[in-house]
Amino acid sequence: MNFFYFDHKTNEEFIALSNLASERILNLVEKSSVVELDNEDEPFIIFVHAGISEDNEGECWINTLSTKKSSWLIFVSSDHSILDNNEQKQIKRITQPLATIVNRLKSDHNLVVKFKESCAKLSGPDMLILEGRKGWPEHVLAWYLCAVAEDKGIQCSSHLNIETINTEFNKYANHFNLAPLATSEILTKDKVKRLLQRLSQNEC
Amino acid sequence: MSADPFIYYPVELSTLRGRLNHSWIANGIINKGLEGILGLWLDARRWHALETEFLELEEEAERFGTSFVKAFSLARLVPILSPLACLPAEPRKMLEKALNSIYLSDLAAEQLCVEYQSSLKLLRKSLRQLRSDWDLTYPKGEKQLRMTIEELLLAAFDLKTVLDLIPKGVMIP
Repeated sequence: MNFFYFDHKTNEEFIALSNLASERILNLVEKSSVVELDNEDEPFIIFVHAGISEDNEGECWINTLSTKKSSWLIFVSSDHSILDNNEQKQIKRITQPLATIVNRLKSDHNLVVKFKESCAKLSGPDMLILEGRKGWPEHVLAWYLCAVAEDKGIQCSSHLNIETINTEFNKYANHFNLAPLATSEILTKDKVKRLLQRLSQNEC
Repeated sequence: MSADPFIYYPVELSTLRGRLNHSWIANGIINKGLEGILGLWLDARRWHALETEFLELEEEAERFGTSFVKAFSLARLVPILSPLACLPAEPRKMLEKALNSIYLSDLAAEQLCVEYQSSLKLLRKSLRQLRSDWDLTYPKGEKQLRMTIEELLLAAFDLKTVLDLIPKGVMIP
């Protein structure tokens, strides 16, 4: 079976060959209690942003379909950004027969390549979900975990590149209107905590 | 629970937690309410999910119960965050251990796990009872059905209360 991948923001469609990411997406869909595939109808494609947020945890997009018991194939957008509960406007639907779209996409080599690249990013452990957090400051978060562990007597932050961490911190601080580090100022857990809080509020 | 749990880093099990909490317990059971479920019984005993999806979700709920303590550990972030890949093996291992220890003490995760499994057991028992009573006929069976549904709703509330205490992912302290 082929799987599709869609990003409604860029209006790009990709075809997925067999890979872990799409299998996981399908797995999620198959386990849904509300999505039904009706063999009598030609399947359609529904495009959804699978969001992970404070309260919907990625399943709101399935809930949204609960009243539409018909034939659906579900896709997840590439950036897994947040979908507000019941925001049906974020769902798009193509009313063309699936086979038509499959053939069209298969014929476009660039789309296949692009999709493979996207899937490669998603194929690591839990990356389907973590991809949704790609805007997170990974270096800062890594430093923060080391700093937290230092309270337990574990020294490991010295292995990290403090310049990269500071640069990343300043970049995000600017974005969230927090004070960046002054010259020779040392990063602290409290500063990072404020940044992560701001980031978290922004995402949810 | 930590005084200031402020960020959740979602992992695969976060989605399952959401499905159990919202799709199953909240939307599937609690929000239907006594009259709603009774209405399904009166309407030619039409509640397909009770005999299909719910059985699968019960199994998923068991899986969640045996997995979340480990899956939501702060230590899970160590292999996930690429900047930590540069740590030598020993400090990396010690970091994971320290973070796991912080996680376990902050969340009282193991105690939560016991409570979750106990609540789930009760809910599964109630669902079994409901399936058993589902074939009763109206009006004779209505009283029994009402009692069984009330018990089911209580059990669902109980499990939801516990689920709400369980993090929505890896909790960053």
